[in-house]
Amino acid sequence: MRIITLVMGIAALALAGCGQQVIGPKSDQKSSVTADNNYVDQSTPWTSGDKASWEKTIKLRSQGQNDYVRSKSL
Amino acid sequence: MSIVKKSGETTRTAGGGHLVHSLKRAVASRMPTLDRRAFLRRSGIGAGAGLAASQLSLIRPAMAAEGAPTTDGKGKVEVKRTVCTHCSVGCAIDAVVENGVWTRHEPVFDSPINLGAHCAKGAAIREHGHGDHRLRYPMKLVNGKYTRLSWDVALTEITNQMKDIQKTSGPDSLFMVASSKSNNEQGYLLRKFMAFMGTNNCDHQARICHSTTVAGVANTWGYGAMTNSYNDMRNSKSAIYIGSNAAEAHPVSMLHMLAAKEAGCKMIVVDPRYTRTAAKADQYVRLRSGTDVAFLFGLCYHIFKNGWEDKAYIDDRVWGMNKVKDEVMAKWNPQNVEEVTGVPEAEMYQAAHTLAHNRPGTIVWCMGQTQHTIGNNMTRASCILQLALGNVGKEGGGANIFRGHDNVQGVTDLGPNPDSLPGYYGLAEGSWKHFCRVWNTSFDDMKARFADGMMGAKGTTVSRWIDAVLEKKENIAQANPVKGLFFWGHAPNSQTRGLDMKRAMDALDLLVVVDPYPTATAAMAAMQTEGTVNPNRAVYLLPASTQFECSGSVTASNRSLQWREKVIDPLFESLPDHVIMQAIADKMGFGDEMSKNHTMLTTKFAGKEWREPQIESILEEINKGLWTIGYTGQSPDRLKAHMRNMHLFDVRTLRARAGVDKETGYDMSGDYFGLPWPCWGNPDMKHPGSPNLYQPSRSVMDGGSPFRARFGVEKDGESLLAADGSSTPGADIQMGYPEFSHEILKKLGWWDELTPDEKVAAEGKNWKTDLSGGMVRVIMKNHGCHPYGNARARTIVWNFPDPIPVHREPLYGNRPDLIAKYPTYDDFKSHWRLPTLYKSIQDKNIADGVPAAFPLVLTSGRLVEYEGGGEETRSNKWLAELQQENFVEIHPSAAAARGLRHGETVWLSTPTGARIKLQTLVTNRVPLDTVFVPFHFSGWWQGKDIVDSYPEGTAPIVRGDAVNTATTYGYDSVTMMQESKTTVCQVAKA
Amino acid sequence: MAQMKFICDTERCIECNGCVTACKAEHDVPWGVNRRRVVTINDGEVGAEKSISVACMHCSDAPCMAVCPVQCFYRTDEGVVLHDKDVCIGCGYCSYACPFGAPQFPQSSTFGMRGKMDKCTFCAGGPEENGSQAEYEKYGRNRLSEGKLPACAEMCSTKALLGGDGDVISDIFRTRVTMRQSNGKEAGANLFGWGTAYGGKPA
Repeated sequence: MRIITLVMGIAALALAGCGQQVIGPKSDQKSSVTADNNYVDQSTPWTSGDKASWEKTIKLRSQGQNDYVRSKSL
Repeated sequence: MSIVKKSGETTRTAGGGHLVHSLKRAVASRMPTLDRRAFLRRSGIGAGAGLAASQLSLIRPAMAAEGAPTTDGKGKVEVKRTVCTHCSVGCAIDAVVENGVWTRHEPVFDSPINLGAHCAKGAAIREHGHGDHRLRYPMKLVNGKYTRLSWDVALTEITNQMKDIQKTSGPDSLFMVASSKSNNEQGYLLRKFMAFMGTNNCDHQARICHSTTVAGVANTWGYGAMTNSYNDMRNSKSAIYIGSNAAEAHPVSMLHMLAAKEAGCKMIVVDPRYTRTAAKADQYVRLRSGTDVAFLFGLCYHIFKNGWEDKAYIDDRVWGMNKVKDEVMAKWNPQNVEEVTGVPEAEMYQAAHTLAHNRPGTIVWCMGQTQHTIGNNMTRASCILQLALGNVGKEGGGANIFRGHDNVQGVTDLGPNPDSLPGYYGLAEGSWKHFCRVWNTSFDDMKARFADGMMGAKGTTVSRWIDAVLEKKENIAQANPVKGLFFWGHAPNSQTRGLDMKRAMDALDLLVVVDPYPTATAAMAAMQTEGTVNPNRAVYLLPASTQFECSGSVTASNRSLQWREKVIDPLFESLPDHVIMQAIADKMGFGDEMSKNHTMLTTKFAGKEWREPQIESILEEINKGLWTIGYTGQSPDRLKAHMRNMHLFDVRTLRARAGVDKETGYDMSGDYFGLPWPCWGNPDMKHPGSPNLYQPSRSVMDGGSPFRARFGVEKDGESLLAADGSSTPGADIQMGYPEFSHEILKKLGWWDELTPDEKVAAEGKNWKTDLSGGMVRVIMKNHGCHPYGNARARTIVWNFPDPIPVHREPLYGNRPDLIAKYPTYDDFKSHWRLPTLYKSIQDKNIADGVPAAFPLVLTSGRLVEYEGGGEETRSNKWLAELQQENFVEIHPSAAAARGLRHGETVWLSTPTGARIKLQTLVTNRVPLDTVFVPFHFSGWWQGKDIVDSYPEGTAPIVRGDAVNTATTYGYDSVTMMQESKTTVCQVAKA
Repeated sequence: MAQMKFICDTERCIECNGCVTACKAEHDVPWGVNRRRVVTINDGEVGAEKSISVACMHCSDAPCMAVCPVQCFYRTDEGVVLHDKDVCIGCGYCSYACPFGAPQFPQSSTFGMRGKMDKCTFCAGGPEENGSQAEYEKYGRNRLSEGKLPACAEMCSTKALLGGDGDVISDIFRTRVTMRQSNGKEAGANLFGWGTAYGGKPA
């Protein structure tokens, strides 16, 4: 582990020296793009990539953190 | 007090203000958090060796073994709904399983009990799917090391020894330390198992938890359980916590309490320590440890003096309050109260005023009240306070006792108790006959299993098993001392007198641990000390599965039953408890008879096939037999439907709006969540459960009830039945009435409402022994009356050592002046089969100068990150990282007087001669003369790490000295509860 | 446009560490790295003790982003501040810049190398395909793309910690504050860190 770190450290410095430093993050998918797995919450589906419908789902979900909503007496 | 300088708005201040500066300092010194316990964390870093982060990616999931199922999210994903295993709140969990591997954990917002919330333990629950430190296969202690055995060999050897012990010493020489973490079906089966073993020597954690509550409260008004619920506290206008640190022991209960507080509830917290719960109080009262009776009666003094008691309520529903009032006014004036408790009159008055002017109010207590020699007095004083205020049987009122382990309520209700068959039926011959009918077995054969005269004799307790081993034979009320012992799902370090426990473990012939983890028992048994070890001793470890590897019902503190689905198959070679029980029963020769009524499955575990009594069929037998507490209506189908439809249940009332279960068509309208017991009658009578006990404002078929007629119909010329007009709505009998029997039914002319079959079953029986349920049906459905009668709560328990609760100083105290004024009991010759000492110990302590040599009061309690004995939670890396060292909280002045600084290592010593090594945590939480040590640690022995005494690879990540290695003798005068909350010690630099 | 934020209601936080272990379990965060911590002020002082849960605030003008020499940080449309571990050189500047102590490193080794910075991602993963195994291994779960909110906030024992659209959670919080004020309780209205993280008055 130490050696790997050492090598990486030197590599980073070396790269910086010759101007081939990697700058800037890779591009990332928007959060509204549905995760490609079977863990997605199916109870309030949204259109993948569609910001407005995803925001609606998220807003509804946040009410799970609001105990006042559930505790109003009948 | 706000944490940022108050201004009209939050503005960006230069440098970010006080809090941010503190954080900057924190970051600079690499502290993960700012709390004082965290300062101690760094010194335990060795514990993290082997778990250090990889340098490169930082996130590396556990490397899947070759051939292990893929868990990349693309496989088959199922959601299993279960319930947390760590406390009695009963937080629901959606366990997400992919290809049989537990990969994710989602909150169950729909649960009316926890609304998705979890504490540190619940949020870390998924570690149960890894079980890195689990006991993987059966083991035996051979030449000081644990070596692997096959199940066959282990069970054969163990049962041969059990039979041997039964033959040579008698059935009472085997003791079962059983578990409050079994589900209901396993707990019930174990009680049946012990009956077939011919002994009542079985007990579980409730003994050292709320046994004094159950005895005290049941003897006041009928049942010894939480009367209302965590949810119902949202309706409270005031709440007094005395001896409860709910913020650490029942964190999610605070969700309901803090919402109530926001709505105006006045919260009072009474505790020797300024706990995290106290930090949320409107009024905090610092109380001297062990003086609860004086405090509670001190409140009653002000209530009576100002005429704040609820006179109408007392006239209708309470017996004996006049005599209690006389005693309170005579003994507990403000001066005496202050002398004993340390609480000045102004604070007492303020608390009493708040409670009197903010009703309904609730009282919460836990170990702070229960774990004393006078625990039963304290719990009864709490009941008396609530009766005086008229708070019992009201929404927002009641006695809300928070139970401990996840199923301690259930196992107390129907499990391995030494003094009762399931359902609090007791051990009288009539009760045995009832259960032999339920179990479909011969009463005479059952009786023959017991030693002569022992069938009705209550067994000894978890808190005293060590004396049942070590005490002289002639002093024990059974044929011979205990020779063989099972630790079945119970830790050793939660009981006092660790030094004596080690001696007892070394003296046994047979010691068997049945647990998912080896537990400190394995290490304690294996470790070498100066004492001699019985050369014939055999020690076995049997791996049990956790509650996530089987299904079953569990009863939360509020008496609601929840059904757990099985999340994953048993890990390694572990077996679920009920399968192990069946296997042992089969080898002992009574397996078939014991499980006669159960559906038997053949299931594959640990590579071979085993007989498994089907869990649902066990619950169905429970439904057929437990009439006393109404465990009859909670059928598996009803419970499962509730779990599938949690969203239908209201958070404030726990009641379902209209709703039909899609899967079965069952209509949940009107049900209370989890059908909290008592849920009367057969399942098809559809009783909704009882959310709040003793609430006469509701009709009986609506969950209402009066106080139980349990103590006779009159005493000292006064009626013990409720006054006229205080019956439940719609009851055909509007005055007080006794419990029902076949004779009363006949007298009233209701007998002919029974069907012919019901008449056959009910003839000669009462409401508790009528297996048809017909009597209950007729009484409740047809006539709106309550089968257990309509009586008064009694404030004087004439059959207890102190009929009116009395304050007595603990056996080990640092106030000789008060010990002289309020001495303890005279010694008991035989209490739960053993001589039990009081006065001789207290007197000897004074004579030996104990108060001067050990001037600090030692109290112990909980941390939020760990549970119970702690081996399970300290093996969970996500929890273990948060609390790496055991510590002692000590006041700055007491620390200064001993030359101690925060973070230094000290020896804490007690009159037992034991000493334990701890880190110092200097804090104002504790008063000047009291120190606090958490009780969750084990794995060290008097300063020495005993990691090598564990089976290879199973020692918990975090280990430390157990406070109970050093704690002292002292037991409740009714239940044998241990006095762990108040003893004495000295602390010195190591 | 939803801007994701955290609020920790100090009147409800009981220092139960549920948020801490929820995060640990959800992302399998290794020993020694603490994306979320609970800070307690005036520990043990009668009448003065308060606790607050702290992780990355996902600041509007994030100092970590400003000082990073290799610019490995980026902000999503919802204001979540994330970073690319493949670009990170482990210099530690972000850790010094952050007023909340969010950036975490494993134990230092020789030459002061820290390894890749790790921090709270608002359960939004990182620059890998949403919900993929690669994203899980480097950054943890991406709950946002699964239609969920951060595990810490969703599991908080007393719903002290709120996490989600700033407008929505401010609303939830404000309702409680108003309740407390109208019932004579300490309002606990101060939103810890909002001034520092988002500038000016909170929503």
